[in-house]
This record gives sequence, structure tokens and C-alpha cells, in this order.
Amino acid sequence: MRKHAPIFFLTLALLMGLTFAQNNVLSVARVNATSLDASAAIWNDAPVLEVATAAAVPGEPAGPVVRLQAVQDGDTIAFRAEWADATESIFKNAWTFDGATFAKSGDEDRLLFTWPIQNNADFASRGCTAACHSSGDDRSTWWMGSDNPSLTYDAWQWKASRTNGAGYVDDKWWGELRDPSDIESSRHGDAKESGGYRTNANEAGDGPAFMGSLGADARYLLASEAVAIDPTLLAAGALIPGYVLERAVGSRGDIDTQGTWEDGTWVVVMRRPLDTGHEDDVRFTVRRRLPFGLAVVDNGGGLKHTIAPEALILDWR
Amino acid sequence: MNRIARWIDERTGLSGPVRGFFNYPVPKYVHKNLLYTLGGLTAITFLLQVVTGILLVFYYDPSTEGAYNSVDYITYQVPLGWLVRGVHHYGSSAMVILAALHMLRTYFFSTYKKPREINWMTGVLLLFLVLVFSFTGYLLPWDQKGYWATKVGSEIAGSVPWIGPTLMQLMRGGADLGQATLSRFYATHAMLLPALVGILIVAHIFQLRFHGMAPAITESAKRNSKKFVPFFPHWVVTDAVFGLGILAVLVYFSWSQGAPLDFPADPTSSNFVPRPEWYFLFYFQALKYFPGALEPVATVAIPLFIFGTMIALPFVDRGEERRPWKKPITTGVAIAYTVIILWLTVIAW
Amino acid sequence: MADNELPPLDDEKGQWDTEAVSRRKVLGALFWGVAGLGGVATLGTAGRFLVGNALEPKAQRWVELGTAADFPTGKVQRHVYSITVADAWRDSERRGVLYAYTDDNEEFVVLDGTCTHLGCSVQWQEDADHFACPCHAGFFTREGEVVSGPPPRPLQRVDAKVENGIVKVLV
Repeated sequence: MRKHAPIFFLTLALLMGLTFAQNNVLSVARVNATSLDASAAIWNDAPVLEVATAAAVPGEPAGPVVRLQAVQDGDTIAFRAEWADATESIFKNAWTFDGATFAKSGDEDRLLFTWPIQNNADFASRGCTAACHSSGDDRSTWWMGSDNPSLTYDAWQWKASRTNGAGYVDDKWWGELRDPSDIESSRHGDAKESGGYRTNANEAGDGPAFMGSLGADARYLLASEAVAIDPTLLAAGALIPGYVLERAVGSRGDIDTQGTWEDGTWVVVMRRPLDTGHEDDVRFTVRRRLPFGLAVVDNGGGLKHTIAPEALILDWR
Repeated sequence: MNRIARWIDERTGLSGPVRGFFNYPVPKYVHKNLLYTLGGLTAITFLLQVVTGILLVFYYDPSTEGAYNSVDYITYQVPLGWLVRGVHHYGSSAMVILAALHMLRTYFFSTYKKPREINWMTGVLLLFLVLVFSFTGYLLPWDQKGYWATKVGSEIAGSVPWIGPTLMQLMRGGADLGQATLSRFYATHAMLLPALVGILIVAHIFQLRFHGMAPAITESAKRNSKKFVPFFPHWVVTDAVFGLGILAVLVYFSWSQGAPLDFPADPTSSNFVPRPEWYFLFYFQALKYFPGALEPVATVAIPLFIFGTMIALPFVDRGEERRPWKKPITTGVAIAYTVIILWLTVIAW
Repeated sequence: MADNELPPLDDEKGQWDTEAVSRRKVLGALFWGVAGLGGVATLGTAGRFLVGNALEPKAQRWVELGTAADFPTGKVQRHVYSITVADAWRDSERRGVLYAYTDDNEEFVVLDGTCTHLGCSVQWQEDADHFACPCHAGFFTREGEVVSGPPPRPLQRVDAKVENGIVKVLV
């Protein structure tokens, strides 16, 4: 057996190498003050984790590589994400005016973070897969959530169309599937006092109810600038956003964001207090390592996401 | 004050033994050699472990469902919890290091020889119990590291010929790792071992006082062997100063590194590579060289041989000679052991 | 101890009761008898108490692994099972990893993912066509036979059967 010893060492070293090469740790750098500015100097020295997103279903094309960074200042934590996307998709369910009628089309880009709120062994080992219940081939039965009433997840949905324009991330949480016949019943929006986005549609549903007061070609339609639709002011080909945006007040809207698309790249910064004090939010404690999941949606709905195939780990420097 | 002391003494008779303990004459050659502080420092570190251990029990929940959450709570939410747990965590490493150094000192000064054989043997037993202490404590957070180290550790017991499987089940309290295992390890770690080690330490120190310090071996030490200083405060103060230094080191590590806490135990995770605490790494590494049928050699025979030779040492090496440089065999053996252990540790790191 | 000569008492203190002292041997024997009995009873009880139910064999149960026809042929598939078992005074979830392999969707080779060396979890490596244990570099074939490394035995085979088209395993 002695003569095999070198082979053992070699394979062992290889195995160890493989284990360490699968780097999945995002180290949070300590800074004096966090910022939503993606080009601020704080990002220069923050460690980078590159996450190659893969299809959630085998055989489908992989997604982009997301370049992640994180900084904290003792009160708040900020994440910076950068990924390639050839098209900027910010007009979900937007209305195109042809001079007489409106036609609805479009979807949006999204960036999703998932954090287990409690200690969760399964999530720490497998990442989002632990929350993904996709037993059969029928995708309409797939659901995300928890099969244990005492385990919940904090789900951050950065939405290019519906929340980015209002400067916040749609903060949700997942729990148990309360109603097995309804796959949505495990997902909930965080508590909010007011605000949030609303569908921009008239009662008949065949056109928008509002338009921007600042010009017909606004990229976002903010509630503060929305006025009743007046087709006489619109030229043919005008595009009216599908949603009226307003920042959610309360736990639902406690994550700030600033996302910009330029030259085929999304750069998104999100910021939140380390501890919001809300039960539907994950609590960040400096030094306490946390597993998390990441997903990217390119111009589509939730099922179209590409995911970090393994659990990612947030660590502290 | 004096009257109160006298009143107590008349009713307890304690002043004589207490005074005797504190006024014990310590030979000058011992007082001058800092290597002799190692035993006292090990005892001080043990006391630190007892104090921090008692504190931790106030919050710890010894159940498979609650253990991880309680340790998580201690570490990140209880005020100074990081410090108490950190000192306890790094204190276990300090115990192993100090006990090992203390043993090496005793070995190289050959003070295990007649009539101190029993004291040497209680020392060997204490070192063994320190290792059991750290092995049982490792599981208690019920995190990945502890779970898998215990799984591997109990499989090692399971590889003992004939009785292995029974031994493994006794250790686990059942066929699998579970609540019974955690309860067993907790009871052993927090009740049984402190009592045993406490009693053995008293016996160890009593033996030391009974026989007195072993005679000096170097010429310069011999010249100092007829001069004495009292145990209190001359000797104690040295121990206290170094003890405080050790505490400072433990606090520093707790502050700069924190006590590690892995993710919660997950019996189904296959990407977790179990690794024992650093002072067991040499053994973990050694196991790699014994494939298949030879496994019990590494898991049972070698540890038994090592502890066997340690226990047998005073009965094998019975000559008068106590100077290490005049005893090439024992000196060589100890150096070889140390080098092998260090080398295996380095490879496994 | 009882045979030793008693030390003389100070005159001031008094004298030994010679009549009582003459019964020393009997009383000594009685003491050791009673103490021994108590000790044996205590230690015996403690021993049995500590062993407890630890030596009971592992509870086994048939668990469904999936529909036989759905298993990909010629490929090793990882399965995680989860059953609720009695764990001392509580019911807890017992989870484990199994690797299933079939050539014809009729005969199934199901292996326990626990390395037979020291209990680490093996990983199936599709490219290399073997199971690898990361702890001490043990390797197994898809049938669980040892290729190289320290494991003393093949991976444990789990009893598997097909009932009404459903693969069931005994865990």
C-alpha cells in the first residue's frame, strides 16, 4: 500500500483543490459609510464573488455571471451586483399606443436574493434548491417556500420595471404552502403601511389609466407625476409604463436601490439596515455567516430565472 | 478580622492545612525555572474552562432542535456571549497545549521515576481526559463540524475488532447520531468529566506535595536546592501573571477570530468535508495510511500503544539517571513522537 | 484495615471499649458486605441505566424512492430520503443519502452514501465514473466496490424492491 501513498496524496490534493476552487463565499468589507453609488470608492477594495448562474432546469441555457460585492458600515449593508444583459427590459405590461388603441406587451429584468431567516441546515447545504419544490414535470405545480412552519425566507426582488424606478427593492418573504392548491400561498409581501406599485390599467383593462405629467416617453411612471390618461396628447407609437410606481412604506420597502443599465450591463446597488427589526426580514449580524441564494431573470417571469446552483455564503472581513 | 478568623478556625480547624498549603517551601531551583509554571498554568486554564463552562450552561439548550440556535444566540446575541464562548473555545486548545508541554517537561526531567509513578499516571490520565473533554465539547453546538467529527469519531470506535459496533452504539446512545448522542456528550462534558478531572487534579497536587519536588538535575540547580521560597506569594504570583497572560491571549483570539460556528448539522450534506479540531489532525492524517483490513491498527492499536507506553514508562525506565542528555533512548523516543505528531499535523493542515 | 492494631488513646480521653472492639472482625466484615452490596447494586443500576436503549437495532422501514420507469438507465442518481423515527424521547426526522443505479428499470442497485471507512459522505463523480470520499480519498465503483483508498468494505447495499412500479428501499 505504501507505494500508493503518492497517488493518495495527489487525489486528495485534487479533491481539496476542487473543494476550495468552488468559491462561494462573499466577504463583506467594512467601510466608513455605505453608498448607493455604484461607482463610489468603497467598492474598489471590496472582495468580489463571481456567480455563474445556471438554468434551474437541466438542459436550458445558463444565465449571466453575476459579479457580487458587499460592504457594511456597522448600521447598513450594501450589495453591488453587475451582470451582462444585452437588452434593458424595464417595460413590463407596458402600453403601446398606435394612434387609436393600446396594446399591452413587455416584461422585465430581475435580480433575486433569498435569505433563510432562521437557522436552516438544509438551505445552508443546498441553497435555494432547499426552498424549491419541483417534484414533477408540470411546472405549474412548482413552488418556492418552506415545508416547515417554523422556517421562513426573506426574498428580495429587485424589479427593473416595477420597483427600481421608485428606488426600492420589493421585499417579500416565503413560508409554508398554506393552501396546497395555490402555489402562490407560500409567498407573501412584507408588511407595508402604504405605497407600492399598482397596475396602470383602466377599468376595461384595454388601456392605461394614467400617464406621466412630465412627458409621454417617461421610462417610469411615478405616482407623484401620474395624471389621468389623455390619448389626445399622445402620438402614435407612444409607450406608457404598465405600472404606477410608488415606494412602499414599511418592511416591504426597507431596501433602497439604485440600478442602471448601460452598454449591455446592469449595475445594481441595494442597501438595507443590518437589522430592520421586522420579523419578515433576515437579520445581519457582523461575523455571523449566512447562506444565501441568488437568481437572475432576463426579461421574464419567475420561472424563467437562472440560479446560483449552490448555496452562497456571506462572510465578514 | 482576626477574631472572626479565629472563631472560624476554632470551629473548622482549617487554618493549619490552609497555612501549610500556602507556606509550602518551594525550592529556589524550581522557582527560578519557568518551565515549572506549566502545571499551574494548566490548572488555571482548567479553572477558566470551568467558569466559562458554567456560564455557557445558563444559555445552552442540550437538544438536537435547540442546541444550534442556543449557541448561535450565545455567540451573537447574549452580551459578551462571543467572549465567554470564545474563551471557552480557545481555552480548550490552551489546555491541550499546556498539558502536553507540562508532560514533556516532566518527561525530560524524568520526574516520573520512583516514587512518583502514580503521579505520572494520574497526569497521563488527565491528559487523556482533556482530549475526551474536547471531543465531547466539539459536538455540543450541533453544527456541521461537530456532527461530522462525532460521526467519524464514533466510527473509529466502531472499528475496534469484535466489540466495535457495540462500543459505537453505546457511545451514540443508539444506532444513529441523535438526541441520545447529544445528551450523552453533554452529560459527560458538563457533569462527569469536570468531577473526574477535579478529583484527579486534587490527587495530582496532593501527590506532588506528598513527595515534594523532584531533586535538581543540573549542577547550577543543585546549588540552589537548599534555599526555599514560600508558595504564597512568591510562587503563586508567577503563575498568576502568566495565567493573566494566557487569558489575554484567549480574549485576543475571541476578539479577532471569534469562536467558530459552522452551519447547522445536516446529515445529508455531501459537500461537507469533516475535519477534527487541530490537535486531532495528526491522528486524522495517520488514518489515511492504513487501508482496509489494517484500519483497526490505526484506529485502535496505535492509540492504545501510545497510551500504554506512557502508562508503562516509569516501570520500564527505572534507572537512576535523570539528565536527558545522558539518556539518549528516552530522549530520542520523545523527540521522535513529537516530530511525527507535528509533521502529521502539518501535512493535514 | 480492621486487622491493624488500634492506636492507644490518651488517658485524658478515655479507653477503647474492649468488649465492643472484640467484635471488630465481624463488624468489619459486615460493613464490607453491606457496602459491597450497596456498591454493586448502585453500579449495576447505573451501568444498565447508562446503556439504556442504546443497543437496540436501527429501526428499518420501506421508503418509496420513485417510479421505477422514471429512473434514467445507466446513470447513478442521488436520492435524499427523510423519515420520522423515534429518537430517544422525541420523534425526529432521519435523513440520509442514497445512490440508485439501474440498467433496465427492473433491477436496482441502491447504495448508502456513507463511506465504509469512517462514515464521511461519498460523492458520485459522473465524469470519473466513481464515488469519491473526500476525507481519506477512498474510491468506489458504481456498484460500490472499493477501487482504492482506505475503505475496508464496499459501500453498503440497501435492500431495494419494485412494487407496483414503485421502487422501495429498506432504510
